[in-house]
Amino acid sequence: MQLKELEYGDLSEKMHKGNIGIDLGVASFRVKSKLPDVQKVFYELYSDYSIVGQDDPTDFQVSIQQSFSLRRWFKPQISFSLDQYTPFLPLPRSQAYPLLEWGMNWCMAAHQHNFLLIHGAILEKNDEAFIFPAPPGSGKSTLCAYLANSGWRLLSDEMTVINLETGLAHPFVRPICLKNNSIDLVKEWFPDVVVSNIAKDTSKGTVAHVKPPESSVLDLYKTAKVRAIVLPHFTLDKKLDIYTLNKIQAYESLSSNAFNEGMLGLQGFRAMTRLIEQTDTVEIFYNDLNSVMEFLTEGVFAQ
Amino acid sequence: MFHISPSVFIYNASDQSGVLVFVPALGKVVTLTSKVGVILLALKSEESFDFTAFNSKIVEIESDQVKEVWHTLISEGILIEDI
Repeated sequence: MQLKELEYGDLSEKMHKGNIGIDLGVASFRVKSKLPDVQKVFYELYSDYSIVGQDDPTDFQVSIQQSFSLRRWFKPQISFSLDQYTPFLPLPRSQAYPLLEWGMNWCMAAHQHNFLLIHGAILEKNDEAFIFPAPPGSGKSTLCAYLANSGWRLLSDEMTVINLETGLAHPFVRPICLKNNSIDLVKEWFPDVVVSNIAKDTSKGTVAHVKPPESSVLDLYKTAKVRAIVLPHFTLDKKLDIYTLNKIQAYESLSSNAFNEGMLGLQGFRAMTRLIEQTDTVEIFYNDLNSVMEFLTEGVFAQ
Repeated sequence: MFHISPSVFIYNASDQSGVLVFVPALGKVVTLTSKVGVILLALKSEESFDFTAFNSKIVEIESDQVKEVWHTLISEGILIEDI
């Protein structure tokens, strides 16, 4: 059953009690929040996902709740919790929804060590997946939103999940986190996409989340073979410059974006080197998203 | 005499760009040039060898660099002295 088959009132009531579970493929989350704005955005962005039965187990039980310190009277704050554990300091009330998304990412990165986890977007076209590992500010999420709304299958905006046995990528489809100017750009390019309300003055600047395409959500259990690793750098004065990286450079770039390679030890090293060996790696400097898309589908990778 | 630690895992990049050695004891990855890495792989099958044997296989780098590489491999736990 998809979340959108529930009435909003039912969702609100269930979320209030922590009884709403969402299936994200490689993990499932039970989410609790009494905050109406969090409930509303969650309902909008996760409407296409399957819900987990009330009595079925989930991997993570998380909540976003208002802090009950004295500050709540003059400067309200919210906290994220996993079970009874609160891993982060409270944030301003206006950042409640982004904190839920970031907290869910943290749950995966800190606990889901059945997989090699890499900080990077991953999208698929023509049965070939491309990983875009990159630090904040590289334009990764904007590129991701552009491709995901241009016929590419979104596997993840934030976290590439690699199977340790097969080397295949598992989807971890989530709303795409846009920052600052890219929010208006994406709204302009794709007027029909659902974008959450914005949160200002976060640690990442102004942020908003974009609903992932339903087709990608419905393919949550379809793995993908990785074709290439693309290191994006948004650069105002370059339409598209491409540089090929050798295997060792590729390893160093990818390894620096891995969440748990060290934790996995030899398993992580083997998964990482296999990934490098099976793929090509390029570094791109760009300001034109369509040129990037054309390069990926019609350039060297198409041969 | 020395031998290569049996617990290390060596990845030899197919494009000859270098060799990575994972050292479980340290939980880290050491990057070697392709030349040094290939020598390491060649010596892996030998029961033990000394610095002279290692040195004799490296022909294109200065001898002081060879010593540096040798000491690095020992300090990183890749080469272990036979008891």
